[in-house]
Amino acid sequence: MSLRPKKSAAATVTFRDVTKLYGKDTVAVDNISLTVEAGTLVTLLGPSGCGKTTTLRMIAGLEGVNKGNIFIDDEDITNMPASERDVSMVFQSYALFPHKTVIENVAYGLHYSGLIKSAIPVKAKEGLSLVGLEHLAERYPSELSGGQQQRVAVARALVLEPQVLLFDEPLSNLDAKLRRSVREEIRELQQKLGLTVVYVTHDQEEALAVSDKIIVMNKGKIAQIGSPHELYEKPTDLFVANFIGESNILDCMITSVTDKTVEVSVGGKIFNIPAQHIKKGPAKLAIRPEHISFHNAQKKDGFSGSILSATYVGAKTEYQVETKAGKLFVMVASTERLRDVNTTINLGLSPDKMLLFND
Amino acid sequence: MVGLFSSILLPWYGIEDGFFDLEWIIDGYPLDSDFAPLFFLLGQGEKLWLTPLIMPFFFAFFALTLPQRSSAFSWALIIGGGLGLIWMCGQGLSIGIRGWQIASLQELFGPLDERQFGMGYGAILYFASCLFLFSTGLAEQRGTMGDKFIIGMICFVVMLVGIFVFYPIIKLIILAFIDEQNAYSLSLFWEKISDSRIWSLGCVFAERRCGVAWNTVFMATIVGFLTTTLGLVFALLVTRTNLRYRRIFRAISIIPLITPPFVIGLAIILLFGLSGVVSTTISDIFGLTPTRWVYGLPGIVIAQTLAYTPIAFLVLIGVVESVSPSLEEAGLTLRANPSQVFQTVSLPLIRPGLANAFLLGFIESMADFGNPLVLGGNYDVLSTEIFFAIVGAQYDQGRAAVLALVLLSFTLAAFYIQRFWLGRKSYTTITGKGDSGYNMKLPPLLSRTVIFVGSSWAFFTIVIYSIIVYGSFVEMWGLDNSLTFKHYITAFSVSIEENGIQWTGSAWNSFSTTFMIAAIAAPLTAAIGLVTAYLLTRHNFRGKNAFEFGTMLSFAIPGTVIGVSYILAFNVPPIEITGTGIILIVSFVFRNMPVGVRSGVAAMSQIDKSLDESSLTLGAGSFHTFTKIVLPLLRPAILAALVFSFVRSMTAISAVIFLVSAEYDMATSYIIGRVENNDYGLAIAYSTTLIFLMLLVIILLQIMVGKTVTNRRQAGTETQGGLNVT
Repeated sequence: MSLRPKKSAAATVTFRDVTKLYGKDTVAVDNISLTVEAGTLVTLLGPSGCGKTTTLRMIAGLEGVNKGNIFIDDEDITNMPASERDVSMVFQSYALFPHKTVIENVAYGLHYSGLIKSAIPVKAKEGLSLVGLEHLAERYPSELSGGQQQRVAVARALVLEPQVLLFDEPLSNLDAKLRRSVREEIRELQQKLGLTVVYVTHDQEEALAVSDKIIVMNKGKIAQIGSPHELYEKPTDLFVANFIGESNILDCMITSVTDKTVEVSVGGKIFNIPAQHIKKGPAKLAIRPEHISFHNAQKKDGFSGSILSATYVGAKTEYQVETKAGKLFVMVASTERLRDVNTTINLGLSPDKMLLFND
Repeated sequence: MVGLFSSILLPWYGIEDGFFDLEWIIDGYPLDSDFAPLFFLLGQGEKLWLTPLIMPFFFAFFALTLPQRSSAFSWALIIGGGLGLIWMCGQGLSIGIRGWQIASLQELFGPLDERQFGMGYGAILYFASCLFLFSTGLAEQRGTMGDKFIIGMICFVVMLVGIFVFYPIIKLIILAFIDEQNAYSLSLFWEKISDSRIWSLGCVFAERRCGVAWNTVFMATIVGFLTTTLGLVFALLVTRTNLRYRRIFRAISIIPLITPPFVIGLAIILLFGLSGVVSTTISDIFGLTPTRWVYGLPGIVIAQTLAYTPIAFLVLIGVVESVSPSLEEAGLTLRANPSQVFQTVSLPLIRPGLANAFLLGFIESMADFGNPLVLGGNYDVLSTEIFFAIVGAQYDQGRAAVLALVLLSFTLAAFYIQRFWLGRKSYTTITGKGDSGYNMKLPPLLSRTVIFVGSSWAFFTIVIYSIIVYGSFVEMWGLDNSLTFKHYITAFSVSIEENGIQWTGSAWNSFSTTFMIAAIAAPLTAAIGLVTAYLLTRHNFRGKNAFEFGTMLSFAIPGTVIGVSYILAFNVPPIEITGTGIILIVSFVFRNMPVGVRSGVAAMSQIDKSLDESSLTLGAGSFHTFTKIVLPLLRPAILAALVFSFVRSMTAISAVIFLVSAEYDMATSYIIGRVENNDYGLAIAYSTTLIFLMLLVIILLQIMVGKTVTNRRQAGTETQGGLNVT
């Protein structure tokens, strides 16, 4: 018997102008506002020290708020202690109680949730079977593998049917193969149960794979919010362009801006690309490695260059090419013929895939 | 090639069976049989039983001719070295001052007119070189990875521990079976050990006194319980409350560690004794006559609790701080409020530490000698009984041995429980990467209780120490309360005369001796402790567990037992060192070795093993790895070991009281002597000086340690900062 999807239990999380300081000077989170819609999985993504974990902990109630308010649905929980919030968290280190068995761990929160004593073991067993570990109920955490420990941590959080479920870098302690399968399981679970999940990670591929929405953070501020597709195809600033996926960043000069096109001069060539929100003057041009291709002849929208290095990585081959516009990092499918180092090659750039950012 | 080096060295050193007093060079060297080296002895046909000792040389030279890695080579060395060792032990033990020691040998060979005194330096060197021959041979055997330095060190430490820890205890056990005719008697042993003075339960059923053993156990249990509770209170106070002056509490709770334990007993007398401050004030206010209630169990319990709470505190604060914050946070997010989290998560994790602290307090209390001596009154405990059995009129070695064995079995039992039963149950929380977060503060009611109890006890401690300092200036406590420097002058006066500075104070002799001996013992303790720690943490060899157990064993042996066993074992050949400074140094080194080992192990487990391994693969041998890589990184641990062993040596009394002699009087026994003569003023003045001296030493060393620690931390944050820029 599994838990019935309870769409009504899942809640919206809202931050309004929230600031968090450490000590007097260190700003961990700088005046952020965001909304997590009920029943969606939203990822907080960013480099180390950007404030994503702090934000997560503020939802849980483990960090205080210096300024601003936090809401769950319409309730202001800014000053509510962690024990009273209907928010559960899966910690990065799993934080399983070493002196309790697996089933006792899962049942822990149920003791404080107003359940009748006789109902607790039953519910705990249900929760454990949701992650497929009911056969390990009497073991101690130290006797489980990393993956199993993590599942117990998830079961323990889920069994309380929280309004919001938080994950703090849940895959960082797992090996690569396991990461893919576990992240899919988490996503499946979230969709099946219709939970509101806030997920923290620094791995952008992970974020792109599981999220309904991604909030990219940098130095305590929100850089961009959007769907995985939006963030990848249309980053709004250089940081996001560089952080998500790979980008070649070139110096360029915007020579003219009209309603339909933008004229850009880079590496001695002029490109006309579809209209973007940009001003005239010096700027940065970003283009992803997979949007550069090899050609036999010189192209109008392209450069010629000399290959500095060629690295075969299985499905793709990566090249570094020295051109008039600078050093370009190119990724082509390995079905293409392998080119040698020090040969001259013609590159073609897709103009509609060029992204421009003001300096 | 250590073995070969020492074997070549030997013929030049020669061997003496005598004393290392430089007069021998003039007196009769090399021909007089009292002072002669081995070869000369044998050449003259004296002491022929030493002849087989030449054999190892032949083996060593023979081995030189063999290829180095062959098994014949290793066996030659093993046999040669082993023979030398065994024969040395054998002849040493069987031939003593009065000729044959073992009756059966006497019958076999007829009486000897010869005597044999204790071993001299030549003999010691010979012994050591045989040992290294043996260990080098062992290293060449398969299964030991051919590391000569390591095997040599292991054998060396094993030998030292064997001689200075196991041998005295074994001798003690044997002595318990001897009666006056020097014959072994089982029935006598039984009679002694079941003596009702030890075991009677009279006080439970009737008005009479209980046996010594039960007294001691009862006292130790109470003290263990009290110190654990107070230690927990302090640990929680320092880590989990918001009290502003928490750091002071930390300092206060540690001060008793640097005090000779009986000084606290003294202070209690000054407060609560017949003419004590509190007693007289209460009698003035309430009109009650002061009684001697302090002398006996109450006084001992108070004194020991004050003295040993710091140990419980140190253990418990480590445990409390190791409770992973994320576990408590998890509890909170699982809807439990702070009070519930504390009960269901924090406390269970601390519990093994509590049991640990209890056992430590139990052992320390049982082993305590100074406080029961000063405050015991009619309440007899094992340690004082042992003392009186040897020192008092009833010089009864057998009885002392029996009592010592009883005491030892109690402490060993506690030690055993602590290591094997508790060790399995501790929940060491693995600090993984995502372990940030704060430890939870205590729920309010508990917080208030803790602060109240902790503050009261801290206040009491401060009062005690103020009394001590104040008391040193009082002319005669209770009778004449005028302030004076007289006691300090008597103890530490210095006069400058024509021939230079004269140390005229009565305390200088013991003071300088104590200081010198502690200063010599401390580096030795640290050295042996750290080498042992290195061997334990970095290398796996057969018998490692036994090795570890042996080295930590001396921690469970009460000082009294060590004192007694040392007198009994080392008063006669083959190792005759009572009455010298050496026996004091040795007793300190081996008594405190577990501390060096423990802090070394803790420090080494923080140094990544791959550091050693990279050094080894780069061609440096174990010796160089140890000295150039490991040792420099261990500086904080080395300093900690030095401080601790220095302090413990300066404040030791239980073993010292047996081992002092006219020439080597130690501060603590001097002070006790003064106390027994009712010369309280001088005793307290001396004690106060010791306390301040040790504070000074600790602060000095802390400054030095502080520097090394901050160096590392800064380096750490730099690299971390570098990694943060992603």
